[in-house]
This record gives sequence, structure tokens and C-alpha cells, in this order.
Amino acid sequence: MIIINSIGDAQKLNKGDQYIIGFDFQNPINMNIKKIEQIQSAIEKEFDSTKEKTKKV
Amino acid sequence: MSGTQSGSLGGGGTPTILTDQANGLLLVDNGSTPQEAQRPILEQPILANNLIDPSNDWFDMWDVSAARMVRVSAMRASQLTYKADGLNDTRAGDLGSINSGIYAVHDHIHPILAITAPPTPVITLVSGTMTITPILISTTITEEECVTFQFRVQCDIPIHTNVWQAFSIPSIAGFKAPIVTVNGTYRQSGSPTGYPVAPIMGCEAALWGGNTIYVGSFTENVATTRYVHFNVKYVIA
Repeated sequence: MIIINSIGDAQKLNKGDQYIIGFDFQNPINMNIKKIEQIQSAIEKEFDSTKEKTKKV
Repeated sequence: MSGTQSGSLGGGGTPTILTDQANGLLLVDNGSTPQEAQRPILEQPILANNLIDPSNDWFDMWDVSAARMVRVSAMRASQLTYKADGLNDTRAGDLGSINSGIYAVHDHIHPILAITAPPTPVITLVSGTMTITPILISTTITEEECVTFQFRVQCDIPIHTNVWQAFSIPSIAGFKAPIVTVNGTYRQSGSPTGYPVAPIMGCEAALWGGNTIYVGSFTENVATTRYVHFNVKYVIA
């Protein structure tokens, strides 16, 4: 499983890859929700299907 | 306007003769490589959008990326009120107007087509010492823009002290953040202090942080076997 700890890690991903956004699982209340959201948003933007649909092949 | 116009361009050599054709094209004949081109005069007949033959008719358009004219298959307007999206769905489509540029296209496909499901998500232990055995408990449910997996994960949890037992459901590149819903748990065996006696149906697992499901307590003095039921839905990004 690919663990993503930063936006930079998103470069590791190819379309269809499964990944988990990492955080301190032993300390759930201190999880940085904002950071997770930023990473998730960045990855979604990278693999935006709207962009795919308009891409010329 | 006249149906024929002709003229010639020449610099003393062979003249280039321009001749309007009855089909609306312009013949450019330089004496060696005659070509026909679209005539820039708006005198062609009008073809209604519902009469377009998508196999044989073409739109001429400018391709910006290639910086040239190209031809693309013409789209025919539909004259059918297309079907609703599914069983018990009585919505009817709006055809638009075949005499305008806004119309339902002839090959508009209904009912909706479901996407191809991605590979089954790999459930991963991210905290604790339990053993997890994920089981997909339904056929994969696919829709037009999303797919849902229904899981049951067997969790064999040893006695533990101050350690969370948790597993994560992966995100998938190309889909939005997964929508996870914990439906409940079945504790088949083991009754740690503070818990009702097994076997028991209940909800001893919690979704936390979007993709992670925590099972049971931080500390448990009896080993347990629990089953966690959850759904995870992936929507195309």
C-alpha cells in the first residue's frame, strides 16, 4: 500500500493506484484534518476526470 | 444568388480557374492539381439537425491545437424522447430544438451506463496487533459515476494495552475521497471488561479521519473476534 505523507508524495501515484494518507494513528484526536484534506484535494486535482475527458488523444 | 461563379488567377502562365460547383464547393483548378474547397459563400442549402447522417456527414471545424481545419463526425439531433435513467425513474429528457444548436444528440444513451469498477480496495492494518481478514460481501455496485463496495472485515484482536486497533480503506487515484459508512459490528467471541457478553451485534467500531476504522477500545483484557461491516463508495474525481 502506498502511504502518502505530503503533497509531494502524490508524485508517486499513477491513475488507479490505491493509497492511504498517513497520520499518527495512535493519536487520532490530534490528526491534522486540514493537512489530509489538502493532500486529498491535490491528488484529486491531479487526476481530475474532467481534465481527462477534454484531453486530446 | 447565382449558382455559378467563375474566374481565373494567373500571372502570365497557366491560369487558375475557379468554378462554383453545384454541391456548394469551389473547384480550384491550376491545370495540374485541381482541388475542391468549401465555398465561403452562404448559399448552401440548410440541412436540419435531425437529418444529419453521423456515418457520412461531417462538421468542418478549426482544431486550435493543430492549427488546421479538421473534419469530425456530425452529431444528429434526436427526435425520440429518450428513456429515463432506470427502473421506476419516470423522468423524461428534454429534446431541445432540432433547428438550433441546442438539442439532444441522437446517440444519447439511456439508461445510464455504469462505470467499470476499479480493483477491490486493499484493506490495510495501520495500527495495533490484530489480524484482519477482509471479505467482500456483495457484488460490486457500480453506477454512472461511482462504485460501492460492501465489506465485512474479520478482526481477531489479542489482549492489548494502550494500543489502538485500526485499519484503513485506501483512496484511489482518479476517484474522490472515499465515502465510508460503518454499518455495525458483530462480536462473535470475547468479552473484555466493560463490554456486554458475546456474541453480540452492536457497533464497536468507529470511522475516524475519513478512511480509518478503529475497532474496540484502547485497552482490552480479553481477546476478541469481531466482524466490522462497512460500505465504501468511490466517486470519480
